[in-house]
Amino acid sequence: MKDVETIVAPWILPREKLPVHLSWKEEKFDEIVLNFPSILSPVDLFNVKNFEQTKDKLIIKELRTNDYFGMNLISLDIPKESLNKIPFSVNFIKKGKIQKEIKLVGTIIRPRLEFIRIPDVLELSNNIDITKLLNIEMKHSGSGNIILTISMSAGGKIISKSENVFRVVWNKLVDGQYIDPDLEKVNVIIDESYIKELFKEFKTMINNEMVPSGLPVESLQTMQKILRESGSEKFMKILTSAIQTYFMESILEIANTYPSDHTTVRGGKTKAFIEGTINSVEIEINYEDTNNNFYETLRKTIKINDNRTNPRPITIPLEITIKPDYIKNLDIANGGN
Amino acid sequence: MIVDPVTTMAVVNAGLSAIETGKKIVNEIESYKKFFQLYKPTIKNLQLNYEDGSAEISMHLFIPTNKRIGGKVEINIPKNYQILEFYDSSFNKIDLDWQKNDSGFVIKTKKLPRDSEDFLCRSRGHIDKKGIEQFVDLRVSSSPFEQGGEDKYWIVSSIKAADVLREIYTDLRIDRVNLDVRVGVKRCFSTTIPHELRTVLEARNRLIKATESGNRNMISKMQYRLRNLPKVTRVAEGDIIELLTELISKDTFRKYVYTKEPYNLSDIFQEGDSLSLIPECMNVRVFTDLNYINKMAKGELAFRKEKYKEEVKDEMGKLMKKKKNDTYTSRNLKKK
Repeated sequence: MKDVETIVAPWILPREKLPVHLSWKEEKFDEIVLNFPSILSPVDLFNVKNFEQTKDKLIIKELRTNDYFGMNLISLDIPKESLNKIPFSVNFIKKGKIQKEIKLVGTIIRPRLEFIRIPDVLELSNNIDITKLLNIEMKHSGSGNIILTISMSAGGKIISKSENVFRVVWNKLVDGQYIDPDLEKVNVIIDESYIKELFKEFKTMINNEMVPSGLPVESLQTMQKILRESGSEKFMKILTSAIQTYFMESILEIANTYPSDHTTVRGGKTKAFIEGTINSVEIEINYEDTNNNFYETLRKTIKINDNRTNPRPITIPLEITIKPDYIKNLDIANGGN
Repeated sequence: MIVDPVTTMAVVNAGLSAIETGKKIVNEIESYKKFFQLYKPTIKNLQLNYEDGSAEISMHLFIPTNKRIGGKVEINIPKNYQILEFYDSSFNKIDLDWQKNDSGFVIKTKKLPRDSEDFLCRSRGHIDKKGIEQFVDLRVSSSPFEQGGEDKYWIVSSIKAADVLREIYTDLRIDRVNLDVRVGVKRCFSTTIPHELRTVLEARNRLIKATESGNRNMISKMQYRLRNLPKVTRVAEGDIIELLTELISKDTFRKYVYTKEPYNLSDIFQEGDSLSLIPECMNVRVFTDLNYINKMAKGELAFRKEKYKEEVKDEMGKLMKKKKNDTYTSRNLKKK
């Protein structure tokens, strides 16, 4: 037997399928044996007709064509280390003798998030700059994009706020956060078909008396009034104007949603609404990767010393800085070895 | 949520669906073949197009002179098929005057050469696209690996069961096997928005918030602040949006993604919520061709992220430098 051409994807995230393919000049073998460790076991087999499986071996008895077989391996667990090199091998057997042994390596990488710096106590005083109060520094190591969900609670009550997009534009219309198109021409180039499509969505909601989830039912009346009084054409202009406001804000929001190249904060910037009576807040950060794996939750309780003479409820923005420390040396061209 | 180590083994799936699918495709092609049964058809080549679900079938036909009755050869084929080319035994292309009738095509036999009874007919039709989809395995990394200022994504595609169609068709090609790579792009803008632009946007935001509150003093104060920003920061919102739209267009973005053989770039689409100015991801479609010889294909898509960020930064900087004294006009804001 001469050459065996192999394909192994250079890396995978935990529980992501690792494609492995082998092809050779047509030759029949009695058995082809895959030796795999428990952390990386086969799930899909391609071009295979008959096989047997044991705890750590997959014995291929018959192929569909004697020149190729492929498989997807999967890691069922989330490894503890950021970088995991998992060796496995394929033996081509004829008359009980190994004709060729192919040694391969599967690479599992995982992201990791840790606190580097987080305050133990928040000191509130009369002339404090709240934007610099709750600053957290974190390290993102390993590899892969992650999505953070941040929540803050005090005595079990969730006090953090985040908003979704449709609700934002709905609110802008209800609250009049737009430039009246009668007073000033809207200076934004937005695709007309896009506005029309959006207008249709809003109109359907209003006509079917639906309100985006979490918004007060009364907001519907305001929307009905705007639509009734302005008519379709002007309503579209108003919608354009509200979107303009949203666009402007969303440019600012991007900086808050992506504290680093490979991290996203779900819902954008998080703020803590602190009432006078609260004496501690608990910050909980959950993170997941793009393959929907959830990792260890990070928690921290921060004490609040309120030294203000007149303690009123206060909203404190949470500033997060994320320092990347990614894996660098991975030979992607050679299957991640 | 942390998942405990799972001790059970993964369940192995030996690609039965591909075999079932293969049978489905075979049935479709075989029933098409039956329309030619008067002329002893044998399929020489089958070319499936993954992208549009079309099938190109090359078929050998035997049309003896004694079957050219009444001066015509009638082939009734379904409406979703068309005949592309016809060759004689010496591979000379025959220019046939195909006449379409209610049930199919009719050839006037006087155009068929008398000295040839063997013909090759190439035709095209559409088969169940889902069938072709299940016949190949496509994988792309869900997360990029950052290397040398580029975000890299691996791509692997393969034929699931090589024998299913080979037993019947000696040659098979699956063309334009394509898949979309989701390239994260929004984050490229997060670190590149100039400070001056942020100042303008924040000032504008505060004015809108003041309008919302209805506090007249606050409105005048914020209007004054916005009007008195340094000239350098007076940029029209329309210009910003126009620039961002341009930067995120597929023509601009295409310059920053590349792939190597055996994969090729096809198209680029924006992805994200419908209200977002900058999409969460750009879907970059890549394709390759698979056949009995090349049953598997590994490739890579790279996004020149740092270079793209540089362009974003440069263009934003240029916009900031433009002394657009006239483009910024104070606006009458809607009062609550």
